[in-house]
Amino acid sequence: MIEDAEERGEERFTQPFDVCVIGAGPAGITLARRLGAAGFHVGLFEAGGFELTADSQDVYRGSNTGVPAYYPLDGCRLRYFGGTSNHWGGWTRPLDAWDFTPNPHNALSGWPIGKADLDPYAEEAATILDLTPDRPPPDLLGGTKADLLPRLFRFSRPATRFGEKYRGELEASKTVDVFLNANLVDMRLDADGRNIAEAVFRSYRRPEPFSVRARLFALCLGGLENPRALLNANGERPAGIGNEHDLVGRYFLEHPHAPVGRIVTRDPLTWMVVYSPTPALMREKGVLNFGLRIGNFDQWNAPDFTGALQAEPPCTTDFDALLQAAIDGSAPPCPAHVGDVFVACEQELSADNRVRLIDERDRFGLRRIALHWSVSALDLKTLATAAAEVASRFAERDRGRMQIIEWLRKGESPTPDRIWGGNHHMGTTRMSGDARHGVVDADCRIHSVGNLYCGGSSVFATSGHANPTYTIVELALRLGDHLQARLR
Amino acid sequence: MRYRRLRAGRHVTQRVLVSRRSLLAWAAALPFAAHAASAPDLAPGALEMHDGWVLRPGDRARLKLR
Repeated sequence: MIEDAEERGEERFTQPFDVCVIGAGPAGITLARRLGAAGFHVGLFEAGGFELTADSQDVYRGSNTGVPAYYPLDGCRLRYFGGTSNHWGGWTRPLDAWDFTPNPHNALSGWPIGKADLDPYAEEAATILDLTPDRPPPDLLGGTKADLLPRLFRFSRPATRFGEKYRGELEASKTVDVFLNANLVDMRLDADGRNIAEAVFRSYRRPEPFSVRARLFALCLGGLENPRALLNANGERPAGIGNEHDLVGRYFLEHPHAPVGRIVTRDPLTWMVVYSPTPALMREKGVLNFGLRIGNFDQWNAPDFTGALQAEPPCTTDFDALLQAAIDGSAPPCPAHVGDVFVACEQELSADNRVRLIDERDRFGLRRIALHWSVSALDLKTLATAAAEVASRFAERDRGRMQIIEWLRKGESPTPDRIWGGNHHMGTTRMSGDARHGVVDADCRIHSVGNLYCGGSSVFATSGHANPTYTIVELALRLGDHLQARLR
Repeated sequence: MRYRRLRAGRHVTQRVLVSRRSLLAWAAALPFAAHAASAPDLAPGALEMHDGWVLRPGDRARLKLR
């Protein structure tokens, strides 16, 4: 059922839930459905309603201390039923196997789990996200010396809005109780300080808080809000819950995105082509993972883009004429042979990229956040290497010629129109087997709390280059199975 | 209106800062030159760059380069 916390009765929360899931975005809804389907009694608490409102969205306001700034913090995520899936772009691919292993060029990298731990959930994640079919990735380079691997993005089309897709199912559910307009304002530990005893919520119109008890709790509030909730819950632990090693909020990760050039290809571009490095190439060049995309910028930003590029008539122009026109800056005689080149790359782990609390408070008295985000020399080297490697491969194999964008090859400063983030908020409660290096363990449990878990991309130990939603759903399904095992 | 724009998923341009020290380190590591010298399918140094275009031997003779 779905209820409005504004209309709650006095006795509504006297009985504990099996699991209290906080946040009804992709992670929270997936987790609640998984547990509810297994017969467990779940309370799913969403801070917003069915529609976006100024009152709810204002809670997301914050500041940016990275200078110049990141996106406005109330503009890069959404605070209502379905969460940020309500403006999700729909791009997905899984992390690569080597994203889970340490990269010697990226200190603290490596996960305590591997890709094999998430693969059992891949098919179900694809179904939940309504993805386009899997298929062999297109490749314009070929050859046997493949240190650049063709990769495939799959698309959610139209992009799955979790609130819209699962509202009817949750309204009819006998096991999952959804509460709208329920804003988490505190988490209180039990007498021995080892477990969460209750989560405290407030609605917008009624000033009195209400407490919810459960055997297990899961924070699924997103990569910026999960750390905010933990840091603000400082009644019993002054540094915040789970913050014994000053890690909550640190190691914020994004995917630096940048146009890096344009290309003229011998074969027509009929599909967006993506290349990523092998682990050997990453080691040799001393860089991080990347996904270099060749296609058409306007087409792949369209909401109905599924990978196929606009069909063009057969080309009768020879390659040298195509290349000469591109070098001269003339209109391409055949658009199918001319493409934009764009890179989204993994980001280096940095403790200085972080979410922290500031003095300004929201309507519930909770401190707002400031985000510091910057790109590193290694991030920039990764972008430049991606461009140089692909440009060189196309020339070596005579499959095309690529022009590397001027600022990148000259090492100029990356200004706002040159590089940006993907609205991907990761790493702020990162996963590690060692409590000194991560906030959650391999099961997504806060190291220092027995019954508190995190869902969503805040647990990512590294970012890879892949858009995060697919992995978020895989992790939520896996967390659901783990919580079921604990509850039995 | 603002919230309708948010729902439509329009991106907001943001800016990025790197320290001068980081920038210099990165520029020094710009990988093109090193790669061209070790291109697996061509003689060392065979590739060249013109106005950002990465070209093969013979391209210069066929193309009109400014």
